[in-house]
Amino acid sequence: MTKSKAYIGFITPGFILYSLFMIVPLGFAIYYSFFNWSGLGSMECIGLENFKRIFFDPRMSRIFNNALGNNFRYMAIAVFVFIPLQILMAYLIHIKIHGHNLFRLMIFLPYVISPSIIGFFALLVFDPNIGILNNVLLGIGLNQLVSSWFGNPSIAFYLLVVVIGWNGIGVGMVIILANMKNIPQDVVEASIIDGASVWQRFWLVELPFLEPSIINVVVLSSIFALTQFDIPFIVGGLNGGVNGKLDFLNLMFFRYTFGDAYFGETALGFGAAISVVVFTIILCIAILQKLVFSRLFKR
Amino acid sequence: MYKKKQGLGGWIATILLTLYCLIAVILIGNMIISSFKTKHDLLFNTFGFPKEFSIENYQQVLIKDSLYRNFINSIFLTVASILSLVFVSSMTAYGLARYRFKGRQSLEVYFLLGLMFPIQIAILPLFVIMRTFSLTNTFIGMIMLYTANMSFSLFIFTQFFKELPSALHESAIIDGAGEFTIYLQIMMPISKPVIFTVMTVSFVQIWNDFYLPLVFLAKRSLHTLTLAIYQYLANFLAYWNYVFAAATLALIPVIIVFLIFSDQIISGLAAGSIKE
Amino acid sequence: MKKTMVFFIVCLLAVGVLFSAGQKVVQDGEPVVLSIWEHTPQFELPLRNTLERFMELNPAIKVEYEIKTPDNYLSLLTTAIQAGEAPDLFWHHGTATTDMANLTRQGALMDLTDHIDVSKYSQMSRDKVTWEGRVYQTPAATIDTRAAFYNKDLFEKHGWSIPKTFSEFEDLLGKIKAAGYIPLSLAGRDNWNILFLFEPILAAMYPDWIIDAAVGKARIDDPRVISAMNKMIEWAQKGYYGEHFLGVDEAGQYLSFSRGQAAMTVAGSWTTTTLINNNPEMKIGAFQIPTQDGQKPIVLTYAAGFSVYSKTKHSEEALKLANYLTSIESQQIWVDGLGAIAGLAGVNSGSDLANEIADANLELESFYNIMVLYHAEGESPTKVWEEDNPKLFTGMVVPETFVKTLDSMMDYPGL
Repeated sequence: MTKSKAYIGFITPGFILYSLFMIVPLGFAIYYSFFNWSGLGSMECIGLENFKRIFFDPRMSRIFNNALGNNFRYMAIAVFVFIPLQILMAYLIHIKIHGHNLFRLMIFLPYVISPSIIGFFALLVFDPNIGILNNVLLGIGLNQLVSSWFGNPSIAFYLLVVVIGWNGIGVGMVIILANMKNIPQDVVEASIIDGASVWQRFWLVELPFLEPSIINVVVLSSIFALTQFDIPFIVGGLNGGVNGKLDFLNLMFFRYTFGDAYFGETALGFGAAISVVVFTIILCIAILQKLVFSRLFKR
Repeated sequence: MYKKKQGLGGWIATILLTLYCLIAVILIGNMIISSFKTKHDLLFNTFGFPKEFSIENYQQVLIKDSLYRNFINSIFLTVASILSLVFVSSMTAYGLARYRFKGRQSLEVYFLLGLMFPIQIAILPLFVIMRTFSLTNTFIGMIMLYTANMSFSLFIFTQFFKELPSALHESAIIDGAGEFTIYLQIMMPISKPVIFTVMTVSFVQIWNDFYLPLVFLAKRSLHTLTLAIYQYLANFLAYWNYVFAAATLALIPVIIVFLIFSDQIISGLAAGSIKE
Repeated sequence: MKKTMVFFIVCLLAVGVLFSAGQKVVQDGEPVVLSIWEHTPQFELPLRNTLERFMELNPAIKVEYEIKTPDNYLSLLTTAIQAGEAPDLFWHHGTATTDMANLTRQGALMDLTDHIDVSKYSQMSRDKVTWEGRVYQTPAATIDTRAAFYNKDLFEKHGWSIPKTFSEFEDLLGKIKAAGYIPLSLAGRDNWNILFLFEPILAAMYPDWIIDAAVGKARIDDPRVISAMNKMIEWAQKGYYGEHFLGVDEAGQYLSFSRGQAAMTVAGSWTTTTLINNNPEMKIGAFQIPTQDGQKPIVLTYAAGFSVYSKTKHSEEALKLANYLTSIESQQIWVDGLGAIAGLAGVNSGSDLANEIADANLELESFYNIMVLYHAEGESPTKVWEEDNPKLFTGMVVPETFVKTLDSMMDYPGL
């Protein structure tokens, strides 16, 4: 790294744009969280009441904890299941197994489909009456496997995780894949000459080079896990699905801030408080991860 | 460099991945096929080939509802935003990653904040800001917004630039190159794989975004393709045959972009250019 | 270096300002352009037809409409009003929700009392648009209700007939189930569709409760409400909504009906056109679930129209449009475009099906509206109802405690 004042010139344009359009509005949102305000009309400053309501109102805290739990459960799956899968997929494509060009496209492709269309696919596949899945199961005589899918409290959450994963797994994969292209090839060649197996070569030689992109993907996946909104909203509905199994923090935020589609009662102040809480949680996790990683890799 | 012959493990991987990819093939293939079905056919035949091949959906969508205009809007907005985003965010990331100064660490976290809250909560102040600069209902305003929403790409760039050996920078200084020249002519070319990764992912995000256009591009003539599709979907039982056609149209450019960019990711880096 | 960057930003801003300034030039002699917002694409057709006719009559005024989406409408409207850039006219819920109270308190609505004539509209319809004795919104002749839609072909084929009493209706459900069809398709995932089934059940079983509750003289934790909820749950356990209805969403509910898998579905009257368009070859009929003594109750809510923005720059033209939207002619265009039921003398219902839906002899208030009307300060019972009613079917919420929770958020003026 260099010591020079030149960084000011590089950072300033981005800093101004970002601060003006992202951080200033965020500042206002934090300010709203101390008010009882529908979004229209007068604002009444109520101090920390909104936050007290989230944590101590028996009903609200139950909803909040349930949503938070779902977010964390999803984050765990994203980090411990999806990321190893992403590394594996990227590696298989990197070492050019048969069909790697097609796989690269097809694994990423679902990400391209907008979430509203994904919701539409979910209807066509999982609807208990008209969906293809139940009809195929009935057709091949597996009647006992027929299910109400997203209406079944014991599997709805995992089903949603699969849909979200199917949709987004390609992103982490291309990030890791791009990193694999930076692995110095002479090092890899040397290990091949030394007679390392594919397995050894991957673990001992190549994986260490992937550290930066894996850290990226861990940080980004965690943030995305805690800000999940689109697909749960479109697939599970605004109220958090069967028995609240598909409820997430941002869904709760949206539901209370803007109300329901038909008869919305807006509560911008309370909604802002929810998003401030979510924001704080994510910030803590991001900082924690940063500390852990910099300690771990001594940077 | 990797051996061409593939062992048993490789074949199992190929088969498993093929099965996995089949899901996307079936769903997307079905979407494309269904876009040629009539509404009545679609009702009873949601999966499978059309009884009769009809291009009526496309005629309706493209010509009667003039979606081609939304299509052009989307292309323009997305391409311009991506270029602006990649330029500004890579520059900022470069400043963050390559120079040592006080508060650098905090600044990195500062730039991550944008990913941590839903834009919806900030929409009112954002609207006021946009209006103050007379940026509502303009593409330039949208481009600035998408550029400002740089946390994701900036993060990727920062981590990447940090990994680049400082020897590159030092030798360029010795050669007498200016700071901006080093960034533009030495660093950017090496960054091709990561640039194209950011471009691919951002392209999809901006192309698929309907919320910001919904708020800031109220004029019909400025609507983007995704916004138009979203409005079909809001009443989709009345229009679901059109939804398939419109969604197919929306998919094509992104696939093309992905194919071009991802080939760049793969072939972008000449071997050994960043050896220490 | 620094200079380059500053220059870059100034350029970007300058271009933005120029861009937008360039679009604001209005030349003399061109028609005045009004903007109007609607909240759902479902109303696009009637709105377009109405506005086209208005522009024919008033060539000096051009009206541009914007259709938003229901889940974002309110936030977009509030944002635009707060920023002082709302459209000249816009739709909102009127007194059906807190919209009217909030918007008038904000001073966003123009007082239309002396500008439009609402005297020909019914009391319920006028109440929707009146706040503290002043009219702030154009009324609507459209009545929203719920009805049991049925597949006429299937009914004919199996010799089923429209039930005359509530127990006949229950018997019918059993017969349809025995014949291998879903008697009543229901979106078990959608709290609104569950409401639209619950309300007719409640109306058919205990119309007396609704009549009292509508004036604030009956409590929500009444045994009759519990009993109606239990009936709805009992039908689920008997499989009358299909074995796996908990996984069905709104679209799935209508589609299984349109595909002939379900013989009936209970839904809002505004879905009439959707159901007809879904499968134009299917013959659809509709009826209201009868009471045990053979009455035909109907749960009614009146729609509301458009308000004029208080800060509009074209108040004269905007009022002209508001006036037109109040006219019988425009209401007829609207009702026709929507295939809706008309609740105004001189306006005819949009279709035969609409007339079948409206065939009733007992008008009742909606359960949901009762909660809106008499809720106490603090947390709103409708929110709790929306969040929790699907849980009645999974047993996570039981009727007795559910109504207790709702009751604790109410404030009954008649008790």
